[in-house]
Amino acid sequence: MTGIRVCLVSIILTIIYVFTTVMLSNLLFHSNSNGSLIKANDKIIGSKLLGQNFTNAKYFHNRPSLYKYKNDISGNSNFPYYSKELKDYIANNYSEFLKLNHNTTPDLNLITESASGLDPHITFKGAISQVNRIVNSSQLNKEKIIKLIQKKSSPRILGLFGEKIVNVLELNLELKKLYAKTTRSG
Amino acid sequence: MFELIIFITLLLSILIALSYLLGKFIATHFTFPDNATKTKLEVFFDKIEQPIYRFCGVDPKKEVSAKEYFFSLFWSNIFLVIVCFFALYFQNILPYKGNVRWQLDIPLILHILSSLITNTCQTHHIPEQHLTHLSNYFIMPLLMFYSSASGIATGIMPMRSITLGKIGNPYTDVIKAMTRILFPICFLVALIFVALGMPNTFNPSVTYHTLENIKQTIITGPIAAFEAIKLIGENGQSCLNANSAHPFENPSYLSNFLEVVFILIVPLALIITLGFWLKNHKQSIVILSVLLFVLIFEFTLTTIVELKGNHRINNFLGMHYSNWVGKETRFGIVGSSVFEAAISNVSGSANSSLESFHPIAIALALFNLSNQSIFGVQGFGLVFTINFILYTSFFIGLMLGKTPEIFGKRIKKNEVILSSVLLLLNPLLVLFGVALTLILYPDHSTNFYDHIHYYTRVFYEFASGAASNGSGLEGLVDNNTYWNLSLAFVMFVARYGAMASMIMLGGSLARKPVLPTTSATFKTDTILFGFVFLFMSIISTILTYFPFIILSPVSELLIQK
Repeated sequence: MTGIRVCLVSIILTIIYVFTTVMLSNLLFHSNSNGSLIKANDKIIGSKLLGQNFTNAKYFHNRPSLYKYKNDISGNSNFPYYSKELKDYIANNYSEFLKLNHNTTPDLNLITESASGLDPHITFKGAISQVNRIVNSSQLNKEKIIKLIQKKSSPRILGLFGEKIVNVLELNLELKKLYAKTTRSG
Repeated sequence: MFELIIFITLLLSILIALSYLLGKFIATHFTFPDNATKTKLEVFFDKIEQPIYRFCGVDPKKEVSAKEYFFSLFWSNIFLVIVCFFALYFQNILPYKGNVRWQLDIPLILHILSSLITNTCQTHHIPEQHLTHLSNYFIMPLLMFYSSASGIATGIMPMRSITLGKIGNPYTDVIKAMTRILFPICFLVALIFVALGMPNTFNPSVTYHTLENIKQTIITGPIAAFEAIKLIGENGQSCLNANSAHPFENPSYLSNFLEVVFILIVPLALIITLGFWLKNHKQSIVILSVLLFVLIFEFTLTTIVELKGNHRINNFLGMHYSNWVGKETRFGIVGSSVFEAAISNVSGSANSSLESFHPIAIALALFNLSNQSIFGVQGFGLVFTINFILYTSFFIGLMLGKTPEIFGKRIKKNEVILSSVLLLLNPLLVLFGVALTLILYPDHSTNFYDHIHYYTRVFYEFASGAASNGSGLEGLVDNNTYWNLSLAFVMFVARYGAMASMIMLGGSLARKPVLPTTSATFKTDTILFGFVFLFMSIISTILTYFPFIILSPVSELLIQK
């Protein structure tokens, strides 16, 4: 009987725990606790943390993904290290990238899957390797785009940890603003 | 390489500082009977727990026998499982469903419950599709809290019996583990995670249109609250399919670093507690340095092979790249590799695709799963460590022709039998399980590599189930009746078999008198003992598993040459 009552206590404590953390985090960090949503013109256009599937040649592309960046599911293909599938997959992505990007070689990061299939970032090198394609399809100034990437990229933490990365959604939002400006002025 | 060195240095300094505090805290708060003079913190927690004890009808001063200790834990775990079974089976009727309408079948429910209550948290289901928000964000944390608290109690009880000679009260230990360790720490950790960008809300989903005008649904929920207990409790259950790789479960490099800290903090603290209770800090320093040495070795080796990259792919591309397959950009290679090496020791969360790691990394993970004592799962890892100390002392005693003893207590037939049960239970379950599976479900692929890799996957699945770890090579299609039932059985027997023998071991050592130290006593707190301990721990694992590890990842490596 005592055991049953201890279980009941744990049930009550868990409920209190979940409720208090949610209340407090909503109070203290409202934006974060709701999924770091990004809004443009009062409409949600995504979360800062989740990647999106960009297919238009005018935008920067994310890494390949098993579920094509469907936001309500995550996962990857789980290719074993030495498997033929992995090699074929990378070879296929590689040749496709070359075709799209006028023979600019990609970073390996950009032609492999991430673990979640929702990776919002690409490496700085990966972003630079897409510049030629964007210049070609949008007629924007190349320097302008590179400057934009530099502005939006986050450096290695303390110059030491992690990679120099770019959030693709944020970068594309800036790019979209740029397109809007050029069409208006043009 | 420089990044790795700084990463490990920072990790260790933060980890040791925090776990020293926690270890001291556990040592003062979990003594039995209570300290004569109480600190302010103890008085404060006592006041909170008083109504709980009264409600449950627990007398915190009553000491029980080892057998009663085990059965109290066992039956309360079973009761919780029964309640949660109905909650999961009728999840479509219960409120707070989110977007999910899914009738779980009974083998899957049994697997979920068995894996959660045993602190394994192997995930065969897809949380986003199979579990409603109520099941995912309330029932899972509940089971994680309770299994983790039972684990801490199981770790503390033998340690207290050996050092203080007292068995204690199971319910007090479980309640204290929840109110004094798990809930307060998880509360803080959850808030830290939200500050770093993790969502924590009751809103189940957000729908929006992307820049290219495609309709998308984001699944949100009390993710930070879930994540805190997942890491502090060393459970490793995922609330979103990709586990700690999902940007919501692990938003940045910093959060990734902190997750490694939080996974390792309680097992380290328990070893420091051992030093406090023995009144001999040298003992815990010796054990900690051996375990940390193994851990750092694994961090380094895993990172080196991953930074070196996949030579087949690099040859094809004609460039040198690190192995980016199945790793998130924001963690980088170092963040992913260190995380992987850490979780194969303690918990089952993953921040990268384990399947796509170099075979050496997988071989190391298999070694950890087989050994179980390199920090190990909540509470249990500590007892496996104590068991290896006992085993080493026994071995040394036989070599020197002395009566073997552990911390001044004689080791007799009874202890050796229980210790052997602990050592042999895991191989028995894993190796028979693998053999049976290969007979029932042989691999039909024609490619030799796929053939070997299938074997690795099966071996890994059983090893992680039996070690209460829960990570897995996810390429295995494992959500079917056979896998669900067989692993539910393996996890259950491995956990409660080990729990029973650990508690009985503690019980049989509790009443023994402590022999005075003489010049003839072989001391267990010396560097020499550290070496023998390391050697024994590695050798005994290798003796049991070597052929099986050779057949799997090592031969994967060899056929590529």
